[in-house]
Amino acid sequence: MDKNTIWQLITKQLPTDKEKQVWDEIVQSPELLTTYKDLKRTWSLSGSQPQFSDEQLEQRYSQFKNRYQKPSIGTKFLRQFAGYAAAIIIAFAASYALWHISDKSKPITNQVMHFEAGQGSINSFVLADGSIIWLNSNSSIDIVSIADNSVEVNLTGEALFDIIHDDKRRFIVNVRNLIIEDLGTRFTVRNYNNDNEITATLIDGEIAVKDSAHLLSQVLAPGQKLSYSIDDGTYTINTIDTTYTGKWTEEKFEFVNKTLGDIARDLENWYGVTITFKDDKLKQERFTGVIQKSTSIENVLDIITYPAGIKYSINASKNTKEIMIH
Amino acid sequence: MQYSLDIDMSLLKSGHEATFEQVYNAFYSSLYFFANQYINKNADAENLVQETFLALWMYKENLSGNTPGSIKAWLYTTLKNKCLNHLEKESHKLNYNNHQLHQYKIDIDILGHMEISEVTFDEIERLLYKALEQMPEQCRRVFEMSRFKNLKNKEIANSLNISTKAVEANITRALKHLRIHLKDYLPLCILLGLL
Repeated sequence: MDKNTIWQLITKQLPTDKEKQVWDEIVQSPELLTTYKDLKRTWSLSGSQPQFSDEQLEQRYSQFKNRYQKPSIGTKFLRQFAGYAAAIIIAFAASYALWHISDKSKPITNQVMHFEAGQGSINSFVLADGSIIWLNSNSSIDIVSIADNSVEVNLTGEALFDIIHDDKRRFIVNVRNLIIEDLGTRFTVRNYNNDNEITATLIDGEIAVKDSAHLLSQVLAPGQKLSYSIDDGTYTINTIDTTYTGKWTEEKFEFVNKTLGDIARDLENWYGVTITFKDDKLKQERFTGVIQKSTSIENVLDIITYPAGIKYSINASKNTKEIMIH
Repeated sequence: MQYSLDIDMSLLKSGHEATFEQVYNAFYSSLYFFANQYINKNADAENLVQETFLALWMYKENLSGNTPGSIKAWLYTTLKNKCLNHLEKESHKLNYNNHQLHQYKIDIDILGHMEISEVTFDEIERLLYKALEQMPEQCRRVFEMSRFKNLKNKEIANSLNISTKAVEANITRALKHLRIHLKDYLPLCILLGLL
């Protein structure tokens, strides 16, 4: 194989089937592999593709500014924000995007804003008043209205809200038929489509949880967790240890006396795998621990299953991995 | 070359926004191109580039170098590390086939061993200049203006007092010349986007 073929591979000029064939040849020859690495390194550093047009650059730059900077206050604010971002990035060693949502002096009304965190990623964004919302993997949030006296959001998935309470401004989270209102506070709400319950856990402050039919109206105290069944509308309130609640914002799994069934859904959301149980009884096994998300799923499974003497197998096909627990 | 552009480092360090924007515009395209070689999803590559500029904004006061070239090396190094982190995280996910995982491993290896300094970019430039020296005068001037100063054909025509058609013809000639002259440097030609 000549250099030119490797170049064509790197510069993506080969048809897919040929690509695979060339690739297989390269990985089998240390010599070709070295050439490949050298060429790819140089090519990537060359900056040789068509430049972005002025308009495209302008658009990127304003996107950049909107994300990280509050225009009216200018650079001073950016520095504050950037400092904050640095703290997060350093503390949690992960990549986050900070969005700035609205300028308090000029509230955006009746404008829907959509944010999401894809599989295996966590996003956070900051509201104009400094409140922070963290989105867990596979989650999305719509800010449906920001008015002088209220902010309303719709949530799918899981989020942690660290809201700076303002008596003159209500902050409301809608999840299906539940309405959760901040009364000054830090709390998490979980409402994944593959969950059969909605949970709201209060870490600090006070929140009110209501449903649209007015059958439920509860004010939670710190450390309380409300679980609401989607099937029949019943709910329970438990007092839990919130030390690990919201640990996912630090890219860690937090499992406190959690059942394997619940853990499996967290792993599915993060790693994009399918987990099935041979015996439903296994779903009731419980586990407590905090695990780094940057680790591989095999590691996580080893940690969880080994002490309980449970075995698992992985069946990998094209783009999906199926895991069977038995 | 590309960054024969003038960047006032003291203005950048003091947080002068127009200067920052100038740096952003000068390097965005090539940084994106870099990230895109290793990160499959365009949106992810774009995010990493944006984060790199955020990092520049955050650490601008503490930049050690004082030349535009040193910013370039700093930006590339920062982006390289971000790509590396991203790939390592991705490679732990399971929804990839062996072929993709293999590619991740090799890319991680390339990035892990990549040292970027001003000299890195000088090497590439030197080769190009060597080729340019062999060109007829007018032809070279047109090519340099177009390629390195990013001037539009019309602007070149005005400043050299020739027609736009002549500018186009000269660029074509320059490219052809480079192609012939650099045939031993095929990688470089591709590298410079000339083929």
